[in-house]
Amino acid sequence: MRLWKRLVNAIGEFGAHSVLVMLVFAMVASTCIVRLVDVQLVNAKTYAQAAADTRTASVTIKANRGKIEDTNGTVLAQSVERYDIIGDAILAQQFKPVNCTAKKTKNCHSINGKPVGTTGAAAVARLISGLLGIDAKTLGAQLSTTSRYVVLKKNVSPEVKRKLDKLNLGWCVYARLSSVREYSNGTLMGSLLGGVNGQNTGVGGIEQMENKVLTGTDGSVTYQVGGGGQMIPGTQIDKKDEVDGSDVKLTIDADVDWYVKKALTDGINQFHADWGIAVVQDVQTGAILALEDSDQIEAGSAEAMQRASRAVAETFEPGSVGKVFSMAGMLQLGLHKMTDQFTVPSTITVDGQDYKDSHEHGTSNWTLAGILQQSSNVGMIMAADKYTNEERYEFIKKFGIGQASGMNLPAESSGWLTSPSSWDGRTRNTVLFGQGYSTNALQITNAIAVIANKGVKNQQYIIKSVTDAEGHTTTAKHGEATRVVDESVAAQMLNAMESVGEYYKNETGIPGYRIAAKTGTAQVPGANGALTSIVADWVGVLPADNPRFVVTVILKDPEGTFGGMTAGPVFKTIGEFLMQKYQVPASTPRTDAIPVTW
Amino acid sequence: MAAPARRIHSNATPAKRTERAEDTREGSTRPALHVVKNGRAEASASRDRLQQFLEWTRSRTAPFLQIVVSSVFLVATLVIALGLRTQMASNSFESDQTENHIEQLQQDIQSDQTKLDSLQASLPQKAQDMGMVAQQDSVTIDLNGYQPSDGGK
Repeated sequence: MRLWKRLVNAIGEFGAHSVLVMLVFAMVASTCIVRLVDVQLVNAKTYAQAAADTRTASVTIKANRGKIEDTNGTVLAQSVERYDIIGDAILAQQFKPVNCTAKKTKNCHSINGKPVGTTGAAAVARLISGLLGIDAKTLGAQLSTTSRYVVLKKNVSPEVKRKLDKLNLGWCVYARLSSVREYSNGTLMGSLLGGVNGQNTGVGGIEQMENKVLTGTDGSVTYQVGGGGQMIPGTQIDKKDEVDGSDVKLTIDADVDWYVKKALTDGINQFHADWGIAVVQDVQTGAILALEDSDQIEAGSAEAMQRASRAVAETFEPGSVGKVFSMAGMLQLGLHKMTDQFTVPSTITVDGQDYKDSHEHGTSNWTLAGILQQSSNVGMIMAADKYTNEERYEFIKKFGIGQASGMNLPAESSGWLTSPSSWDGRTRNTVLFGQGYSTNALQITNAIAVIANKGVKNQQYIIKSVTDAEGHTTTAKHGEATRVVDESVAAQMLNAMESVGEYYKNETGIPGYRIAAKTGTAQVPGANGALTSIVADWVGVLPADNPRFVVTVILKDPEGTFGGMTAGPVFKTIGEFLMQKYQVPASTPRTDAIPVTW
Repeated sequence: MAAPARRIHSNATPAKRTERAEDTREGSTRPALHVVKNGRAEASASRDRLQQFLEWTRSRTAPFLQIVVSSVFLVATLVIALGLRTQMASNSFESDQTENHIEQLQQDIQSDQTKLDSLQASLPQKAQDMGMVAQQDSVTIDLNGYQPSDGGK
């Protein structure tokens, strides 16, 4: 107070008040300067960064998953854009509809031209119920929670999303872009194609096998946003383009596969079999044209992702088809010629073990070709008297039995083939006629294709090519072809197999075409674990004079038991279709048949 | 050329009206000095014009004209910047609309393509349902032993 009085005395009351105001201004100015220094100098970087972070948004641009196509470019699987409909329950509960009038026709709410009639979550539910196809009460309950993120419906089409946009509910119900995998052919190749999970990752089948190729690389865009979240024009900071996944083209011909599935399904119904498998392979290239089983599994379904195709996962003893591999080995080693003569009884005892043929017959004079034609187990044992265990094993293995097919299909079973050292006195002989080891449908198809392909084993493949997002097509690489037996040996075996085809010509003959085949029937464990079930198979080459295709048909527990009588007719149906579809020239008459009897 | 202005500001006391007027006249009658570039080949016409404009503004004795010109230039710049900004926003909006439209069309194409693929895939089944049957036998003509008739010669 004394200071104030002295100041008033010195410069007068007005002057003292002026000084006081000046001091206040000076203090405010000082504070501002201090703050300015803090903002502009001391913490300038931090504030600038915080400001930039607040107004900068980075959005991920999802890359599309590649397509899966058949050999002709028919789309089997593709990803299409869909939307998940999201609701904000808190905002929905605050919703008050604006009634539409003659003057106000935009930004208003009505249901079929009538007022909504209520407010809050119930009103929102009523407005979107018809569009989403969900009961209004259910939707109302979902929107009556305290959640700000309620998924009301997943994978709705863009059409529905556009209609939703017109409802003027954008502030409490909105759409989030997603994608869904569409499979054009339903149950065709269902488990072979597999499916994708919620993260768009392939699970099961081709989707899993080619996941890396099919999956694209997501892109991103970074820009500055305004108060409403919209992009400020010209503020794009960074953009990384997305790269869509590559398209995968299979060797499968969807038309052939459809027909094969139909023939298989008809065969299952006709012979009341449990299940069936069929494979069609191109002899010259090793390409798989059809790979089907009788299971009706929708591609992309949970079952398709969990269950592998029977055609790759199911293993069975090949039965008498296995005689082809052993006989080819004997010919290759020079132990026999196809014309060698045998007197074959119906039964034989070797090392205390009894063996018999599938049907009783009197002692017969058969050549080696005759033994194959009649599918004589006894004849095979007689012919193999100088065929060592190691040689038996070597040739079965060389034909690819018990070995992975090399196609890397998920859940593929390699079957089993034990080493000869573990064979007992019976197994060493049963392996001669396809018992004591197991195979899958792909292996046995390629093994017979070796005979059809002049003794050379091609690498089977199911991926024809891959086309990347820029349109560059790469032909898939396959393993090297390997020679298993000499061309002359393969020719003799094919000749003998043609005699088998002729033997069953009433059941399996295709008018105008020669076929070479081998049939097999093997006992397999039934539901109770005992050997009570039957697997009947038929592997045919057509046309025999100029092999183009190998067709394998396998039926489980068919009525009629024998492969020639059950799987054979299914083969015939498929064979007829193949000859017509690929316009294969009719066969020339057979003139070089190796005698089967003597 | 800036000499008159310096003289005006260097006076400690304000000049009389007549004196100032004389000074102004003197300044205005004296030709302004400037570098004559002698028409060098590299000087572009637009540059010359700008140079002339600048010289013209500097040749004025009163700073008022400079202020007016500067203000006009400033306002024009602001208006142009505002115009450009508005145009950018408008273009951005149009671009956004076009992109949305393209996206919609792509979705429509995708949807129709999926439908078409599905229909194509169902063709064999539909053909079968309609009773169509694939040809099973090959059609062959056996010419073995064929004797052309006389009429065929």
